[in-house]
Amino acid sequence: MSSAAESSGFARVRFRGAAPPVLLLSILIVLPLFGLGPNWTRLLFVTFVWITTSLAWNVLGGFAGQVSFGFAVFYGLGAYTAALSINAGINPYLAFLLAGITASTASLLVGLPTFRLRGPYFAIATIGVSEAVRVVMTNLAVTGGASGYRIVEHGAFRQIDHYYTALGLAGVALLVSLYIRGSKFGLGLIAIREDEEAAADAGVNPFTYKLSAHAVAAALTGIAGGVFARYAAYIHPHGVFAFHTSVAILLMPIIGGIGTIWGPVLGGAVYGLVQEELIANFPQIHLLLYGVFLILIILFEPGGIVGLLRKLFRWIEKARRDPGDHPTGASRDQVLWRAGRAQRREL
Amino acid sequence: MTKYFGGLAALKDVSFDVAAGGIYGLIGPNGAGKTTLFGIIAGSLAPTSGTVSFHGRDVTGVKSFQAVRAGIARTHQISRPFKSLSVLDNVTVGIRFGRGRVHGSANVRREAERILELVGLSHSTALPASTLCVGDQKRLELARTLAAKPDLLLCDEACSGLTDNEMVSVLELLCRICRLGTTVVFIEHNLKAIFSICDRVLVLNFGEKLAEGPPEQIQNDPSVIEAYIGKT
Repeated sequence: MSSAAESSGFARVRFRGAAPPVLLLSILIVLPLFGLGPNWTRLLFVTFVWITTSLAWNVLGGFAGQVSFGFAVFYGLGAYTAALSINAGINPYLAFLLAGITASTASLLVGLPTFRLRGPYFAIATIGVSEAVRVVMTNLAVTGGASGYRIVEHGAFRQIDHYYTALGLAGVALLVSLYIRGSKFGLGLIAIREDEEAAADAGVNPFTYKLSAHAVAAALTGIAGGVFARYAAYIHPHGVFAFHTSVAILLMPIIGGIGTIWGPVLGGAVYGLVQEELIANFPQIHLLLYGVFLILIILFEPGGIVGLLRKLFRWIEKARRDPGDHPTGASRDQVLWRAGRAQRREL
Repeated sequence: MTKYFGGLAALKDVSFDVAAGGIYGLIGPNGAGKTTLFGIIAGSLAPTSGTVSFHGRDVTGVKSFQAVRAGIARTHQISRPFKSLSVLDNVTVGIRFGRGRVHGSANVRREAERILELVGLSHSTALPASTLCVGDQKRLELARTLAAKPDLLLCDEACSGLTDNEMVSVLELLCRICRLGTTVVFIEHNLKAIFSICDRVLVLNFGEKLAEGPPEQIQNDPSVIEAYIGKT
């Protein structure tokens, strides 16, 4: 009886919540038709790639609470897999798929020995794996070693194709995140994040859940690497496999709001847009700025930008509601405080 | 069964049977091995030697999530709620990963609400679990464990830190759970609580089985009195 009313109310809320992202997506789809210009197209392309990796990291780091410092491994492996496949004459979109599969397989190899352990072992292991892979790729002759690898594609370069590919990928990453959060899988991951032992006592298999989340995140990151490689047409180990790539992928969701859906999107957007401008204008200062940003977030708002916005909305809501309740214009806190003082005087 | 932590024997050749459908008390001074025993049965610890069988099946050394699927679920001495999740979602985890076989989100929700009502938490389903007081966190832990539909419920100090009134209501709850068809084994330091509701009691001391039997017999057992109070 009441469940029908509830579900329609739920649908309404969902519909209202879906309006801004759908609007944003529509704008991003039609924007190039009005002549975006190569610079803006490039900037947005890079931003979509970062948003994808940020959402991907968040599946493992935000939902399951497993912090990885090694996502550059998947990004780089995806980039190189796509590059080699495209040069071998494979269709680029198939090459992206292969990139995802390669990265996913690598994630299992990292996860199998480390996810059986609890505590910081996984995080530490990811640093080691990431450095090891970078060193190997720097010395691997087939892919040109440290001097990098070039992608030669026949046919004209159409920037707009890349734009839509990256936009589509970011959209898929968003849908995957939304789906996971609402699913049994997502519930299990959050339970693991909150208390792994208690989750196991409730029937969740932490090992396979962490492994699966890692595989999903790696696949998306690998595809993002592939999409980037095809656009850049030249990749090298000190770029895609660099430690600062891993750190960037981890910073974005933390800045935006770890464990949320829109946090990684905002974090990716801020990073993509601001970072590119910063690098262009102040090549050295951007790392300093992100360091400061990170410290501020950890100290004052662990919820990131999303947490800050939520507080702001709550504050506005309260400010709007309260003057009506108290004609004097005093907030509820002030009224309570005065009442408390009056009581103390009586005592 | 026996469990060694390094060279220390936490449990030495402790053996016992729990008949289906009763309430079974487990008592003993601190460090007697009660929680270790629970850990072994519920799958978070593997025994050094010995076996655990349940419904005639060998479940020795299974992982805790496998034990849940077999029908054994435990609560912890210090409750461990999923703090950022709501009270309702905490129970939902228990339902969706347990043996309940409840399908459809509306059914899961109804089942979660039913269980929360059973333990007396229906007033705070939407609150984050971190905001509950200790007594309510214990109820929530019990609710989440019950949500898995266990045949055997291992309850580790469900009453510690509670007021007398809260304790009575938890004991009533355990009796009700037992009547609904779940076998209950519970650890408790409060002997009055144990003797008032248990059908049988097992006493552990320094990892060894000291006595086992119905409450009346245990209360008058000289070795139990000696372990608890000292020699006269």
